[in-house]
Amino acid sequence: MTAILELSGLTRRFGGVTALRGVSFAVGEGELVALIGPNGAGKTTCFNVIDGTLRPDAGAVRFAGARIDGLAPETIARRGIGRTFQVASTFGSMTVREGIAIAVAARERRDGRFASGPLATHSAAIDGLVAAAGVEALADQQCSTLAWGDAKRVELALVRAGSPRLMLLDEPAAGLEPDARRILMREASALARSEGVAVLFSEHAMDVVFGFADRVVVLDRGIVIADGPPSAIRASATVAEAYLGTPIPAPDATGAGGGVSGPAARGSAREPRQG
Amino acid sequence: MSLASFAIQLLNGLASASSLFLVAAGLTLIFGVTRIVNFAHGSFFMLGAYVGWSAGHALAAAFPASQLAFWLAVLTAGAVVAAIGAAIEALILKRIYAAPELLQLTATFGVLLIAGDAALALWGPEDRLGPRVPGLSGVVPVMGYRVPVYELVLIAIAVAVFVVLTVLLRRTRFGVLVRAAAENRELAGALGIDQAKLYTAVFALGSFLAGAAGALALPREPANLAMDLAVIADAFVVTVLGGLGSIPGAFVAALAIGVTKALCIAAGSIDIGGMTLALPRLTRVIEFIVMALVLLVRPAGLFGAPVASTPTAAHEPTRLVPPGRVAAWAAIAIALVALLLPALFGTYAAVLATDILIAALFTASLQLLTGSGGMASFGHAAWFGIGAYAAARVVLAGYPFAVALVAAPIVAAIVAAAFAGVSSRVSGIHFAMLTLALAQILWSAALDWTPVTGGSNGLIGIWPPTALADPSHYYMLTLALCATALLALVAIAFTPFGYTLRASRDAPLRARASGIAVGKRRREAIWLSAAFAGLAGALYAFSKGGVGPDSLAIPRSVDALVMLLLGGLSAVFGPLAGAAALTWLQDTLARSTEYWHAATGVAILALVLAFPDGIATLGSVARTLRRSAAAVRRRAVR
Amino acid sequence: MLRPFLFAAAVALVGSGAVAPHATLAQPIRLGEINEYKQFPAFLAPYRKGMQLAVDEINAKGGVLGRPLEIVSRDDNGVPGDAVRAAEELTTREHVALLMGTFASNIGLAVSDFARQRKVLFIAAEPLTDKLVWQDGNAYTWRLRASTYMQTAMLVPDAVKTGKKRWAIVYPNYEYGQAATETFKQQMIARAGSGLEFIEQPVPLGKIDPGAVVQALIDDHPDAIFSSLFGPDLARFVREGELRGLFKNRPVFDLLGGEPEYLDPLKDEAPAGWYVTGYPWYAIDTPEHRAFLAAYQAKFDDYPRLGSVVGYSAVKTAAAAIARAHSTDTAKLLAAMANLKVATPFGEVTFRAIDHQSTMGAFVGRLAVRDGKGVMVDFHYADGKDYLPPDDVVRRLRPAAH
Repeated sequence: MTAILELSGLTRRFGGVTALRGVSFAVGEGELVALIGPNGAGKTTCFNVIDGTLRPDAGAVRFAGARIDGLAPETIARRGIGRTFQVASTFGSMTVREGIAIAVAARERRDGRFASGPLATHSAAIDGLVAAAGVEALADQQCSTLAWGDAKRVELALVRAGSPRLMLLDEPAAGLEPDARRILMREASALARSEGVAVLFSEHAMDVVFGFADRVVVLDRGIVIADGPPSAIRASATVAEAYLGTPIPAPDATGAGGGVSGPAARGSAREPRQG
Repeated sequence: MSLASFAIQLLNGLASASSLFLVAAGLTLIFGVTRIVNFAHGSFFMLGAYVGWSAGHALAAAFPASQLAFWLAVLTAGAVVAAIGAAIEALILKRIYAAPELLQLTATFGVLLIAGDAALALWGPEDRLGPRVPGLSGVVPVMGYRVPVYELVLIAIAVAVFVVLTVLLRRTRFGVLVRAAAENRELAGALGIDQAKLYTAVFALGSFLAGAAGALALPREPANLAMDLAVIADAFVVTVLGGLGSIPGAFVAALAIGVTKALCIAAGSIDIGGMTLALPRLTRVIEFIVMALVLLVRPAGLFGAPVASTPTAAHEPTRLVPPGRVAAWAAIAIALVALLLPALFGTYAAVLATDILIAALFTASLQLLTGSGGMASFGHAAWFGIGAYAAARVVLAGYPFAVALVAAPIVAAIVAAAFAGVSSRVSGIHFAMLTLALAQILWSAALDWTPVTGGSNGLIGIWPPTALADPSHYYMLTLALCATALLALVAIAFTPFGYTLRASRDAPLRARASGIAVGKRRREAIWLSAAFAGLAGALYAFSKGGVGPDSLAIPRSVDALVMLLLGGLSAVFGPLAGAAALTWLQDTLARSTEYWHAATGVAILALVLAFPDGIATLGSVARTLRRSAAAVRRRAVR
Repeated sequence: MLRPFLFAAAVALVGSGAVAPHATLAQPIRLGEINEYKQFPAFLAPYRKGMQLAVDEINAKGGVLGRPLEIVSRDDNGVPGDAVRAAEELTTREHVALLMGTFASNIGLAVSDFARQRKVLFIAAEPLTDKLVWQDGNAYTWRLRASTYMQTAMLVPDAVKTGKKRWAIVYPNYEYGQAATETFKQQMIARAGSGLEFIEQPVPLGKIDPGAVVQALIDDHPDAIFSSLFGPDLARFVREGELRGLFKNRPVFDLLGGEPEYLDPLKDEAPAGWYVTGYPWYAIDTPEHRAFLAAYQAKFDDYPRLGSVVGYSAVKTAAAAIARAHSTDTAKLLAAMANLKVATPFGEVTFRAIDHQSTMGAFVGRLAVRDGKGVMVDFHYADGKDYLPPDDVVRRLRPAAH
């Protein structure tokens, strides 16, 4: 399998705190990779470095063979990396359909046009994305009023509108009911299987991690402490220690309690918090 | 300049800085905690001076030849103004915290208008010079110069207030709450802080400082009706330059401005390569130059933490609804009335409507920037004024009228593109203040660059060609151009660009992650908005037969904000409704009462409270009607 | 619920503006008046009273051409564009016979240009700028008050007499202050010859930094000081300058310092010995002024300021022009304005045909403190006609209109 994403020696500091130190791993085409680790391990920082929100202090990010570290987020997005945020972020003042339409326009490089007529909000592509996300009933609802789970689905549709070759999903299952999280993850894995889209997701819910990942990368205090197939990770003593000596529970034993609990039940149009 | 004189000038700078700090400290507290752009803060300062003057006179009889009268007057002024401030917060602002933050600015602007007329009614038009303070009215010799004792007292008071505020903020529970609220509003909410009480308390404290500062200014300047506006811009500069909510920041910023001003005055005129540069002339805008330079290097001010929130971001974004059938019919109806206006209501209606249309275009250009783009601007008059001056210069250079109308938006757009490039790192309230700085610098340049701009008198004789000389004819041209431009702006709002702009406002990180070049779109919005404002400026110049520095001045920028918020930040017809309301109100009130500023202020407050989403938002109107009906019903039941 | 009430209040408030003006028996002659009432209330509140007095006097005597005078006054909010709109309203809707008023130079010029464009008479009451009658003068504009040039020229003889060579000039940094400074320098050089030095200290209008400015002036070691400050700037300058000893052993001239509007707030701190132009209403012993003073005090229970005289005289000018023209037709009014003689509290003034400037003068004297108040002493009336340039110079200065 050829690597679509390669991180080598990524280091990022915030003042005196080193959030990432020498992080290296790769994601193959069509592969589902879980990035796990305790809170503060550096998962979100890692995502932010990959998508260009943060610049690494050292190291390199290669996407499809080309260096992308130091590029602007929008440039990286246009190369084919899409992402979601821990707190699902949508365009609060727009309807679901309008939001998806603008994401489609951005992919087609039409987002800057102001002399070519109004934004088309009805097209096969948009309808397809609305249907794929299962939000037909919400298509004309304003995003700021979406429930937490619906906002996550809509955000995923926004990401898919960009036709990414790699999706970064930051805690996709957090705050979702078990059924909802399974549906969401099945969608993501179907995408990986059928269209060859690579997925890198961070997650606390172990049922999700071990139920869906092809491979698991474990971060602890900014260092990759393990990288391998789910079975090997579950058996790893190092990983168990990183999780404060707690043995990693079996997938079907976790249920809703295995993940971190999500914030309030209502979706938010606010900006995701960085860091 | 001798060393001694240099040292004394530093001391002078320190004294002015102290005075400035006392006003700005209150503002930075209010601003830092509540994020309210409180235009009435200058009015609090002015009211403090007047109350201090009256109290001083009353108390002087009770305590003849004693300092006590003065100090009691200062405390009285502080207390009275604190009560006024707290009342305004509790009775007016509290009702609109859920609205866009710029709406609170609009409300405080209404308060400013009322306060000015109240002072005129209570104290009359004449300046009121306070008596000198017994025991503090002399001078002390310092390095061979006579330095007024009171200036040293003022410095001491500023240091004392600084220390007290610092201790208050660092060592008390109140201070912890204030700092928490200033640094992170959501966190403060999560900590279970009673925001309602905290906001009222902070408003009272900030107003107390402003009122006391006003009374403390009395030994140096008479209480007068121009104090409010004279101090407010500087106080904001200090607040933003120092960093929002930072008392040490305000202290350092006030010091920087006070000392820079004093040194400019001391340096006098200097020769650089045959050119004479009169540095004292710079004192008019030096605070804005300093602030602009600092913000370009440190976008959050000297002591400020980077603030992501823009003045409009905290409130739930309103959807800009694409105009449907009703809006289309409304537009057609408005257009029909507009076409028949001169025939139906005579020439003056056309004149007034010309002003309304130009104001609507100017406001709509701000709506693109602030409404869709989420970039508040306190200096939008910059583009209006550039357009007006450019049009005037083009005509004076002998080119036809039509060329001027084309050149004006282009010139404004070019300057705006340059400004957008320079200011790309600055956002939120800091961006708003940077636009203000630009407008103020241009305003000052217009005043000083007499050969090109005509100086303070401006340029006159800029009338449209003979065929359009009749106001009704010029109105028709304005109607055609403004209607086209307004429709173009509405259309732009629903193009991919317009949606992208709002997407970038709603969730910039989400937008960038979707491949949207947020920075580029914002820069485009700046120059596009400037082009429309420039066209409005050009039309204005020809409708008035001239252009002057007032076209660049703060009141014009404020008018645009007020009209935008009155009409509705996210309402398609908002700019037109807001411009019509404010222009017509002023025109009508100015001729019916001497206290027409206050009347306008009351009307603004009433509209803001009744229609927080703007008078052009149908939902808002319907809500208000429902509420009124319900109120009537309730009363009927009783 | 407060909101519905506030809304109702707003509607009521707006509605009250729409009350129609009451009808009068004889069709009145309407005078359109525009001013910056909100920006310069200290001058313009007394000005309004002066106008009122004149209108009442004229109407008590049967008005003009058998018709009463009516003033239709508009506040321009200090914005030239608003002044032009008011002028449009007054001419098109109120059908006024003429326009008058204005205080600030930029507003005066804007209305003057409007008068030229719309072909209506404009009697500029107060704006001081020389441009109004010279560089930008036009056929429709006439100015009542002595100009910056004239007032400055009135102080120059005393300034020359001091024999001082090194002058510090402090002025509000806009056209009025700049013009006063230029005129002063030119006339001093013309009269006092070589060896003069001028150091300038421009200050932002309304925002003087008095400590630094006074200190800078002290460091310049001038022999004498010429200032055109007024209002709050003047009060701050005086207080700081007195404290720091700037005025000690230095003659000081202030262009408008004797006007009650600016002198009275200083009370016992009025700077004694300063040379000023102004209006010593308490000591002018002419029959015209005695009558004006008595009438004014009887009507308003207050003493007149200079604004009162200007407002009063402006209305008298309009009335005299209409009476002389026997018409409210603009062409006839313009013809009547040329060499029109008007009786004012300062005596008879003439509107010069050559440059449309009236010969109204000002009182020149020195300041003193009496009974805790600033007063002018040793003053004389400087007749405006004596402080204007020779006719050939005036013609050169007024290119457009000749």
